[in-house]
Amino acid sequence: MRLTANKRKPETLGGIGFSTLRRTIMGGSKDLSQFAGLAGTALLGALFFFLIIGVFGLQFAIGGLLVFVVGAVLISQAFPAEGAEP
Amino acid sequence: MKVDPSTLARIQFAFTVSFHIIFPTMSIGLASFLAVTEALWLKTKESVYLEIYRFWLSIFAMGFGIGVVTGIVLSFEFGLGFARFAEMAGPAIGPMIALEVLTAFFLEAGFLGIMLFGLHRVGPNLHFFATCMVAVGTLLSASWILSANSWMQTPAGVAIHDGHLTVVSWRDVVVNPSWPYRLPHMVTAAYLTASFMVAGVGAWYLLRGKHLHFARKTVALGTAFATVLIAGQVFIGDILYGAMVKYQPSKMQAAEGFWEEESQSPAPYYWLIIPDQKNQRNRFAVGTPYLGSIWLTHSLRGRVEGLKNTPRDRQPRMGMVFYAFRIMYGLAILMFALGVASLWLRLRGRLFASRWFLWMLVLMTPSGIIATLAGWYVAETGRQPWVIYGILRTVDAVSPVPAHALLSTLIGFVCVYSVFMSAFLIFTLRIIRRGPAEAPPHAEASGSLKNAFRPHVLDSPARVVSRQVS
Repeated sequence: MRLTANKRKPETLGGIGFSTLRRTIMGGSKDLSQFAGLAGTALLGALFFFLIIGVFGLQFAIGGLLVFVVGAVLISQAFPAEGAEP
Repeated sequence: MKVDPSTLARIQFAFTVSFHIIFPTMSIGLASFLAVTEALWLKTKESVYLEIYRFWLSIFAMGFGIGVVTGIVLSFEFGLGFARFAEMAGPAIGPMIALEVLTAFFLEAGFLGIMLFGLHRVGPNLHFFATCMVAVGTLLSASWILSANSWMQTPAGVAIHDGHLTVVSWRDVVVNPSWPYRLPHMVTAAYLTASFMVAGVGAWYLLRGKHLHFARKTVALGTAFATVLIAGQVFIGDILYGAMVKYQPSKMQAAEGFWEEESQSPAPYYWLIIPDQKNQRNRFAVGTPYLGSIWLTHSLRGRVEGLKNTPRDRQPRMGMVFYAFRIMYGLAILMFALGVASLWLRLRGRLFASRWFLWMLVLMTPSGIIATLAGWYVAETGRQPWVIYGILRTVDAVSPVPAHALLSTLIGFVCVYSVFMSAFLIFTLRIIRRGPAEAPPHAEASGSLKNAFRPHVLDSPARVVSRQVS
């Protein structure tokens, strides 16, 4: 069987494992986005913690607590977390 | 070696009360968790909620039993080890402990039997009512005990004439200044304890690949409750902190590890200190710059008051208070972080798939108990050298009991309580290893009193299932 260029296995292109490269790039961007998500969540969590313990005053503490609790309830209800187990 | 009887009396009370508080904390949290779970079962008719209910009911029952038995001991210790305290504080504390028995214990005793053994003897709604009454009973019990203990922290509503204490306002005795803050703090701690226990056991099953439906539900429920509760607890804790700075400044001065009348500006937040009580200084201290000012004074350059503001003979031991507070606060920060992480994992649909998170939940299973114990150590060691703050010193409250009597009973308590704890752990681990039992897929007969004693609701679960299948 004669292989046309577009039917050629990606691994044969230029001697570089193209799918490996793609996986690496995609995996890297996935890792990066995961890291960014994690860092963002950590920052948001720290901000809420400082808010709730009253660093910015009682009014902000009550506001922060309400936003956090309502947000947590809404997320828990909207995402019942029926995902795959490890 | 000669041991001071007052030290032995304090060690004995510290040991027995530390052991005791583990079980009511679990009971208060689990009773309300069981009520919520049963409500969800009645509402959704999903059998997994009944499985969760049955599974945790057994553990609740064991904890409740040990809590009652070890609580009775404490009442006797007031009279035996701290007779002068009992004599003086009796008019204020005695009625509150009696009211705990009359309200909480009677309510619990009336409905506990139905809750434990009545699922197939009364209808589901009546059974749910019994569960709710037991949960209310545990809250009432917490309320009276916290009122009594808070009165010892911030005494009010009494007058002292010739060394005798007279109640002048019952309202002020019961609703003393620290009670409105300490009660919600303790109840939330109990709920957090139950939430992390439930989530931890569910996470363990997920990691082992067992009882997956049950495990997912318990992890989802436990983490959702824990996330909401820890936010509330952090808020209540900060309000309580402010109240204690006002009413018991020496306790909070010791809890923060500062000696100077005013700390440097900006103040660091100490994580590790080696206090030198004799020379009123820290031999060694590790802290985060600025964080002390930010957290404790809510300003960037605020100064924190140190323990030298309190006369030496009225100072608590800094080391105990500081480290107990750090353990409690450190665990609260970890709980908060896990709550936020659980929300993030929920959003990504990986709450049950993330192994590091599940392992963290398993490790945090006893975190509520440890944090609660640490919190009580802050409360009790921070109140020293007083047993009734500003009124009666601990050394003056101890009974004239010989040291050998206290030592022998202390050894007795250690032996008997070790058996209790071993039995509790063995049976609880056995229940966890066995896993949840099968539950019938539907709610059974109605919960009306009329139906309560009809023969068909007396069936065993197996017969009910077989009848439904046929």
